[in-house]
Amino acid sequence: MGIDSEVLREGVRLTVFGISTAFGLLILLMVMTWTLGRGVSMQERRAIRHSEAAATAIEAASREKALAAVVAVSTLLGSNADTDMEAAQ
Amino acid sequence: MSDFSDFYNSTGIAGLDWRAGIMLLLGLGFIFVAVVKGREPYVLLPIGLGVIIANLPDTHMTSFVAVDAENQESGIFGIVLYYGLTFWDILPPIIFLGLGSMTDFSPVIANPKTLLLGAAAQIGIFVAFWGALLVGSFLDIEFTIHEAAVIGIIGGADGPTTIFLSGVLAPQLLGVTAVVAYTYMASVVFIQPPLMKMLTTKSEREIIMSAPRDVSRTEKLIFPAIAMITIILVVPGSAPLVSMFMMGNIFRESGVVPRLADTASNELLNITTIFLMVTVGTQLSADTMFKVDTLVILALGLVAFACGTMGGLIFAKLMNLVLKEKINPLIGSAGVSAVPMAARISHQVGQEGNPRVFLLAHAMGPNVAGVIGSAVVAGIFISLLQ
Repeated sequence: MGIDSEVLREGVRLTVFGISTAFGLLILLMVMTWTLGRGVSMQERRAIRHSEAAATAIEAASREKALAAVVAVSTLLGSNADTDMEAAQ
Repeated sequence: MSDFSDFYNSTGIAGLDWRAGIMLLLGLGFIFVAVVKGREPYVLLPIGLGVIIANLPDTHMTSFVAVDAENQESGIFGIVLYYGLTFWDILPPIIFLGLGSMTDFSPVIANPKTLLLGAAAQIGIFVAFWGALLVGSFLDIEFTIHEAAVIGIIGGADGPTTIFLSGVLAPQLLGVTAVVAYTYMASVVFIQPPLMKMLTTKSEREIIMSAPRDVSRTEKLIFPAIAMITIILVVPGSAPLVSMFMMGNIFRESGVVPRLADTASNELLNITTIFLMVTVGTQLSADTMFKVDTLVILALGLVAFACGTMGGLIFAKLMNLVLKEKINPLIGSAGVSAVPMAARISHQVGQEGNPRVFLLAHAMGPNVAGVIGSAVVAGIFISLLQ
C-alpha cells in the first residue's frame, strides 16, 4: 500500500508540466488571438478609410466633370446665341 | 437426448450467466434512455447495442485472433477495436476532423480571455489523476500511472480525447473510461447546476455580458491555422487530435471546399461514430464491469467532472477581480468541454435568475477552449508517458 516514490515523482512531473503547459499555451493563444483581432480591425479601418478617400476622389472628379459639362454647354449656347444675333442683325 | 443436449450446449442460452444478463439489461437501459428520454442518442444508442452484442455468448464478434498469416478468426468489432482504437488509433482523430468542421471559433476570437477558462477547467483531470494514484493507499487496488492518466482525462469531458488517450496508454480501460466519460457528459445537466449555484452568488449569476463583436472571415481562417501550429510545436503528442480538429475547421471557414467540409461533418463523422461507439460498447463485457476498479473509475470520473466545473467557476470569479468589464462566472463551468451541453447549462442557469442574461454565445468560448485544453493535456500525457 502507499504510493511508490518513483510514481510520485512522475505524477508531480506530469501535473506540473500538464497544468503549466495548458495554461501557458492557452495564454499564448489568447495573446495571439487578441493581436490578430487588433491587426484585422486596423486593416479593416484602413481599408474603409481608403475606400472613403477613393469615394471622395471619385465624387470630386465627377463634380468637376459635371461642372465642366455645364461650362461647356453654357459656352456653346452663348456662342450659338451670338451667331443667331449676328445672323439676325 | 444427447442430440438435444449437444444442440442446447451449442446455443448462446447455455453460455448465459447472471452477470451477462445484467449487462444485457444495462445495454437495453442505454437504448431506453437514448430512444425514450432522447439523451445523447448518437452515443448511448450505439453503445447500448454494443453492450448487447458483447454480452451475448459465443458471437466472437469482439475477438481478435490471428491464427496464422492467412487465416484469421476475428470478429468485426475486434478488428475495429484493434486497428481503429489501439494499433492505429485512427477513429478519434477522424471524429475530431468532423467536430472541427462543425465548430465555430467566433466566440473565442471575439472574447479571447475565455480561453483561460478552458484551461482552468482542466484542473479536474489532475484531481482525478491523483485520486487514481492515491486510491491504492485506501483500497486493495492499484492503477498504474498510465491508467491514472486515462482515468484523469475523463475530467476533460471529451469523449474522443478520452478514447484516444485510452487507446494509446491503457487499452484495457478503453470501454470503461469511454462509457464513464459519455455517461457523465450526458449527465452534466444534473452534475453542474448545483455546483454552479453553490459557488456563485445571485448577483454574480445576474451579470449581463454585452453581445460579442462580429468576427471577420479573415480571423476565422487565421485562428485555427495559428492555433494548430502553436499547439503542435509545443505539444507534438496532441497533433493527431489538434491537427485534425483545426483542419476540419479550416475546411469549413475557407469556404472554398464545401464538399470536404460537408463530408467531414456528415458522412465521415456519422460512419466513424457508428463504428467507434458500437466498438466502445462492445468493450463493456461482464468481465470488465463487475470489478471494484470499474466502480472506482466511475467515482473518480464524477470527481473529475465536479472539480473541472468548480475550477472553471472559481477561475472566472478570480478573473472578475482584475477585469474592468466583469464576466458572468457561470460561463466558467462550460470550460469542461461537453460541447454544447455545458454551454447550454450556463445559459439556462443564468436565465433562471434573470431572463435578460444571455450566456450561450459567451459560454461557447470556454466550451471550445475546453476541447483544445483537454487535447493539450492528453498530448502532454502522451509525450511524457509514451
